[in-house]
Amino acid sequence: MKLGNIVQLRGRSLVLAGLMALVVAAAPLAASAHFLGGSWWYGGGLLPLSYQNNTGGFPAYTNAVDQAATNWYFTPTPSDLYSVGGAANVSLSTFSNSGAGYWAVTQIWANQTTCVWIFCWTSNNEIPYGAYNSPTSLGSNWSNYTSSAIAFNRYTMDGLSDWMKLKVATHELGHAQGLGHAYSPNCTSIMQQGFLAWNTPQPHDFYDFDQLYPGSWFYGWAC
Amino acid sequence: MNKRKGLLLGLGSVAAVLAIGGAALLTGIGVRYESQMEYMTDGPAYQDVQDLTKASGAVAHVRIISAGKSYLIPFDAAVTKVAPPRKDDSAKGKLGQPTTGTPAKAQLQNGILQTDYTAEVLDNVRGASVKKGQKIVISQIGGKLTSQGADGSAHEIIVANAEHDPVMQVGDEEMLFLNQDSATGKFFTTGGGQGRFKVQSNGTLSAVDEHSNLARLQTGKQVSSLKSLVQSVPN
Repeated sequence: MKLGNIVQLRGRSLVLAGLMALVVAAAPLAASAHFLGGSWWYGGGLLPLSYQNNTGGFPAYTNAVDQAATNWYFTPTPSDLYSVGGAANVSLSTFSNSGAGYWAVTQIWANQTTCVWIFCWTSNNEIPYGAYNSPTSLGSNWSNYTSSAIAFNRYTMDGLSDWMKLKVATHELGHAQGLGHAYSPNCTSIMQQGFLAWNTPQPHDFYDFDQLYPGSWFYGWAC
Repeated sequence: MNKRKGLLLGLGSVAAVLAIGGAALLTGIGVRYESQMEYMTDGPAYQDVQDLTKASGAVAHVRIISAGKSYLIPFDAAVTKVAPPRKDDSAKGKLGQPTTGTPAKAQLQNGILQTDYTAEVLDNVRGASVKKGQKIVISQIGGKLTSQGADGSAHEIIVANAEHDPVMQVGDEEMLFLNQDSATGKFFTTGGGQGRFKVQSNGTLSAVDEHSNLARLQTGKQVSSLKSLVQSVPN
């Protein structure tokens, strides 16, 4: 065998080994994806969602929310959260509850059609939150998301640093866009609960986001 | 002739049922709607029983004896702040001003539902703030709201649960990791569902938050083993 052929063969083997390593490295990302079920209406390109930031009485929260929305925007995903003064897709508030340990609460609504015999009606209900490993429909009787609300508990969050407030706001805006919790402790994701070493969306989150809202020109950038 | 009468009677009956059913649905008289709500909650996550114990002021084996009326923890008055438009020269920014594909909606909620439960302490496992035989009040996010229909009956029932922390059930025995609200004296569980373990009639535990690793590890074990583990955690 000529030396050139041996080099070519070794080169091919290296490429093959590299590809296999990439597949192995990417596999845990795919396996630990988490989704709530359902999604916002998405027509490709950007996913513009307006948000109404009602936390203005408490500037630390206002800043955390605006920075979190900006951090999501600057990810290689269709995420496009933009601030408005009136009614919005996502609204954010604060409250103070000394009788609970939670930092924040997120809710999402969609239209649900219910039929009894031949009578059918549609009501705007909270979605039945799930924990799916791949994007999953809510069922044919559910619409896309219609609105979302996030509320921060000042009683438990006032003592957190601005860095952690940003983590919580980014996490909640991840929920509001359809991402669920990442339960595996080995998964580097902003959608993990509790104190983390990062406070911005991570590559795993880009991957999840692009799975949930596919077909855009961003698809494939992440992971 | 009899056949025609029967047919008319049948058609008339169907029309009457449709009219009564439709009217009942339209007016809401005699119709009870029940909708489920769930709060997705986020807070501290606990790694193991030691971590959970150290974060709790008290640990107790309790029986839930009654549930109070649910109430709303109101949101702060809204002060809306609008952030200036972002400057982005990248390809994403060049797509132009955003326009949402989903119509905007006014905020649907004005607070978070909460319920107080009275529980009898069957065993004080740790902490001086609870004593065996004492009745304590435990607050929990979620509960039930009922509105009246036109005929005075329960018209719409909203049942709200926190994610991985379903509302407590009267009669249930639970091992609870607790903290006390110094303002009201009421207790609440540490980490929501993470700090709750149902005690089955045979004395074994069942995790309330099945997504919590520490909780899952206790499922099937005897309540006595968790009590011993909690008591072995240094102060």
